[in-house]
Amino acid sequence: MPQVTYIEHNGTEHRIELEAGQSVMQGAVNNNIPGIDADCGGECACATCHVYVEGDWLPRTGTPGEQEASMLSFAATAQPNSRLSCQIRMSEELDGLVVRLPEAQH
Amino acid sequence: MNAPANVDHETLAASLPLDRIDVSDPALYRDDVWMPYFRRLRREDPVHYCASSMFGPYWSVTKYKDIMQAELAHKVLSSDSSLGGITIRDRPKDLRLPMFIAMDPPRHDEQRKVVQPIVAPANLAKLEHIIRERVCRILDGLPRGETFNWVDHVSIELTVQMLATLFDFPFEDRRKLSFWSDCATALPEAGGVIDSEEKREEVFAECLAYFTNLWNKRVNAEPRPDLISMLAHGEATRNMTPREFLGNLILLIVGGNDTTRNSISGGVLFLNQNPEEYRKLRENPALIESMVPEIIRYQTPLAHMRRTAIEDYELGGKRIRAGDKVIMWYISGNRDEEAIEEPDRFIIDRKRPRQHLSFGFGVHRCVGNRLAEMQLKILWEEILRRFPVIEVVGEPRLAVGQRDAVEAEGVRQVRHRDPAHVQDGRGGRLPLGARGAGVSDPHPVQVVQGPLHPLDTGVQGVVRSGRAGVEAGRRGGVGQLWRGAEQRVPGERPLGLGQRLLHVADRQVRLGDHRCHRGEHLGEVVPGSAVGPGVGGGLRRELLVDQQVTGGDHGERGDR
Repeated sequence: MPQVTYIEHNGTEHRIELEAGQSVMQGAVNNNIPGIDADCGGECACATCHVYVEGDWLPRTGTPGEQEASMLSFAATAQPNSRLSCQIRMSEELDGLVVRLPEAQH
Repeated sequence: MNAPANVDHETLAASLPLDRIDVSDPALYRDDVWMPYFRRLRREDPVHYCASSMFGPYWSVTKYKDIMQAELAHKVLSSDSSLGGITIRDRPKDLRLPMFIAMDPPRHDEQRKVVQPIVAPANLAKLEHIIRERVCRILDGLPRGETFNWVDHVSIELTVQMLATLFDFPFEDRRKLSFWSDCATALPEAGGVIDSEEKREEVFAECLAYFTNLWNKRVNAEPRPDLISMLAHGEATRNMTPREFLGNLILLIVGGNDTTRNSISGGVLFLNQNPEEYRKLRENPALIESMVPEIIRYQTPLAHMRRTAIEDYELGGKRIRAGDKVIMWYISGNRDEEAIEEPDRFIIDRKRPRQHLSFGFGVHRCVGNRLAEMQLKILWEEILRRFPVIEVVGEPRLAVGQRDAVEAEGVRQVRHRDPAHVQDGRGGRLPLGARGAGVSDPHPVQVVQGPLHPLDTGVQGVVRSGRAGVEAGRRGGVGQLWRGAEQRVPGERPLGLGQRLLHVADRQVRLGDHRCHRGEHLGEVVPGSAVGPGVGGGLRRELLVDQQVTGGDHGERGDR
């Protein structure tokens, strides 16, 4: 199964295997990774599963769609490599993906 | 829907024809009986059309997932103040206030982003220290071993201090903020300080003048991290009209004051109602983390938000037409069995406590949600350090209708219960103070709840005739009653809005200076609600007549 590495704001790393099709947010929630709140449960409606896509993974995860961009524009700590992890679906192509978690989910 | 007094709401909610269910009825909130009606709608008609209510026709969206869908459909379901904004009540057109919560993108986004940095992580970290210091001071100053008013001493004081800080508002004048908030949300028909829209506009003018003075000072100074300075220097806000400035002020004042205040009060109440949860909390203060969102869910400080369809739109299998009013009932979605396990229970260690609708979702999601949570979290941390128990000793007082919906607020459900009794952490249980003396509430506070607003058109309510032989008694004068102006067939009388029928006179009855005829209807004016047709222009009247006068002497005197 493809793997994702989540790096908490304090540097703690979690390497997790996710089934293809699962969202990166779901993987974090299912594995109790601190720093992802996902208040809306994956509806792209709250920006509390915000992650920074590490390195050169961004072209492969894709960039935010309209709704996601709109929500991200209200996130306090958004950067050019910001994504909402509920909108990133795992696939074999994303095996090895690394995402960093922001200071806080706002 | 105006249900008669003493009705069994479970039965009524289950037996009413669907098209008669009107969940905007203020009495449902005042009496805290809204639950079975929403439960029925969620099961049988989750997107429900009510053709006639005091607010006109409207759709109710009652299920969590449908509310979520509506929140995301902001291109079709508009928040714009010119269409009616975000509250079930349509305010008079010329008095509608533009404010960013009642705007659609892109203008909404531009204005919101001006104030948003005030609650960014870095600023919150600074505020945390200030909040903790104040919480400590407030808690350390509370009376010990006697009853006191929790709402006033803690809920209002803490939120008003916070607001004063965010605005960098003169601290000694901070209670003006809660006054303005209360005025903004007051219902004129309730006959309080704000008994007309004109009066409200006068207070608004005073508020605007005060803040304009602050604006003028700050616009000419270097930008600072307070809300007024941010608005004065913000690209999207520095050229606001006075009306727009006022609108955004009211939004920030009400949004920052009233909602958190209710959650602060609600938390104390819920823990008292659920002693097992309180025990869990005392044994494991780390549960504060999950308790805070649970309080916010369970309280649901804003019962609803409204949208207006600008195109036809399909939701939950129903066709909503362009122009229709759509009410998202957060208070119902937060009790949706399909989204939340055991939703009617207050459980402080839920697995996914943050999954609730109280902050809304989508582009209008509450901008201050983290600040609100932080205030509650710090408050409970400091409470647990000091007091093993805060005991509510008064009866909860639920009222309806003193508050008009301002945009930030919407129909509200507020539940305060006071006074509270603090038990001192240093010793055993302290005397129960006033309760022992039989005085349940030495610090009365008018508390409000509910969708409430002026009742301006008729709502049909079926009222069964009074019990045979019963006459209305009076307590405190006939001014507290209404009398039916016309006689109709007992049992099918349409009630005026804000009225509740108590008795049908079965003989002539004299009430104070009034003489009621046989068959005439006598009832109460629902406290705090507007007075309906046929009630002689009265305003708020506390009623309470349920005193039966026995014997025939009143009837006889009625003849004199």
